[in-house]
Amino acid sequence: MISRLLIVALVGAVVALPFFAPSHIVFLVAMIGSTSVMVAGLTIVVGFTGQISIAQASFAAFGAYGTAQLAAMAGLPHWIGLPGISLAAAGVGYLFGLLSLRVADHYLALATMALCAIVQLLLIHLEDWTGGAVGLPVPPLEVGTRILTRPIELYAVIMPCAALTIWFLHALSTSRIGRAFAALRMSEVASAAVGIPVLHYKSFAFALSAFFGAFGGGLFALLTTYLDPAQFGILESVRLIAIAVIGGVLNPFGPIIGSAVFVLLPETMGALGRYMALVFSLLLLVFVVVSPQGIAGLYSRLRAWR
Amino acid sequence: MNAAALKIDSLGIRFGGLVALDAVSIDVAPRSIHAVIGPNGAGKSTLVNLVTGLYAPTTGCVTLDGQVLTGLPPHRIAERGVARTFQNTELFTDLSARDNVLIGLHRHLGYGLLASTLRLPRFHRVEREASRRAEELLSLVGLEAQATTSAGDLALGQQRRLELARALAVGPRLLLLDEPAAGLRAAEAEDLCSVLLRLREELGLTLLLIDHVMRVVMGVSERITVLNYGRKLAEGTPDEVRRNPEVIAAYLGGGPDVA
Repeated sequence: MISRLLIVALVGAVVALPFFAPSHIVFLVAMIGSTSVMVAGLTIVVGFTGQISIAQASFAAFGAYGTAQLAAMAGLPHWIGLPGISLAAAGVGYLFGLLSLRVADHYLALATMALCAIVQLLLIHLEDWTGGAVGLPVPPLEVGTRILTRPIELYAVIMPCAALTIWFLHALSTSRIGRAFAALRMSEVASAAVGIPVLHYKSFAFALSAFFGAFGGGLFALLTTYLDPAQFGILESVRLIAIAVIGGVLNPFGPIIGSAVFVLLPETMGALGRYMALVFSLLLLVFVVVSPQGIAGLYSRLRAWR
Repeated sequence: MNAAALKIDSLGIRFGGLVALDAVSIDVAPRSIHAVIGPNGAGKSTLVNLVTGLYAPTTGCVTLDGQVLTGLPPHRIAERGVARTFQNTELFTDLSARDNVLIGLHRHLGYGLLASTLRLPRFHRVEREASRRAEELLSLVGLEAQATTSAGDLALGQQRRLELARALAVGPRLLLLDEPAAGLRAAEAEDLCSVLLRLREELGLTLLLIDHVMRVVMGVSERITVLNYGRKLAEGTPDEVRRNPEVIAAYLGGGPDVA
């Protein structure tokens, strides 16, 4: 009941916000929305399925550069290009997941990290395609003849996507597919023994993760209007994992909670802002030790305790 | 559900220099309860892991109703109707007892990502049916009151019964039970015996039972195979096995190869 009320309040706040908040706040909340979509992919692969991926920034780059260049080079409107490139990313993610047949645990972490490093190098060196180290301007979102560039317009596009993503996570976790992911997280041997094709489901988790990584990356690109390869390295992958963990990796709202903390905290810290990396590292450590289920986990623990 | 005949044909596996199982052949008749006993390290669990595809054998082959299982990945073997329990329970410990059984039902639930995301009527229908089936299986093993308890919080005897319910959810024709009675109190072991007999009578399952606990093994099995040091030492009815001098030597010591 309280959860329902909270959700209604949250939706109400998101709808009402652009009517009274200044435009830079609207921009920040849209940033929370696009970040949460990228993080949702990690919630699936790291949280639900228990695999490790330090390549989420690469899938975000795939979506961001892909949607930008499909528009710039092929003239494909974003509303086709973004879902299209995200589906393509899902295919790549599935193939990448097949890797987990050969490598597991920390070796998988290293393999995904290597992928991330390679993709960033490609972004820098394939200048004809990516604009190289200088970066790449992102053509604006066009709907019909209207060009959407104002924060409030992008907000109206991004927030529904974020809401649908939360719904997707909820629906997934309460379906047979989500249960199979949870089974994999806890015992691959027992999963196989009850007839769950382990490799297929792991790869499927990576595919979904890549889809949301790319989709969120594309939304992020529309919002920032300029892409810089420095934004898509291993550190960004780690940052996305930290957001997922602090928000809570087993809760559909985890990504949005974590993204809110990571986007808003630097804004409110003023001069302390340059110690942000330190603050986030400490936050991550505290949560890993005190509440591995993140902020969302604190909430359900509180409810159980009352 | 038609019962299945399991044929294990000169199955062997070596780990490095150690021959864990050496050309063991066992025929399990359809709808029978066949026990495999033997001292620790005799290769009993190895046998289960070979039949279920967890290990690949070095020699020999396993067939179920004439279909070759050897070489198939474990989930394919499960699809052919082979389910198992584990010696040191392998439950999904953070999940509720009901979710454990629902995961066992996984391959019977026919809906995809789209139906689940859009919550189509099909999703609700299949999930409702699955919940009903899960409740049934939980009450079959006497865990209906524990449906929402985390598997990890159950007592050992309850965990073993939950594993049984999960294995039954797979819809097996052949059920392999790896030491289901280990660590159970006498009364719990009695209950287990009656459950095993019911499974055979009511569901027509073929059971391959691995255990130490003689009361259970002697009480329910039609045939017993005795393994020792990875080899088949003896095979026969419970009475034949009980009287076999080699078996007595292996169990009580005194044989020439006992250290």
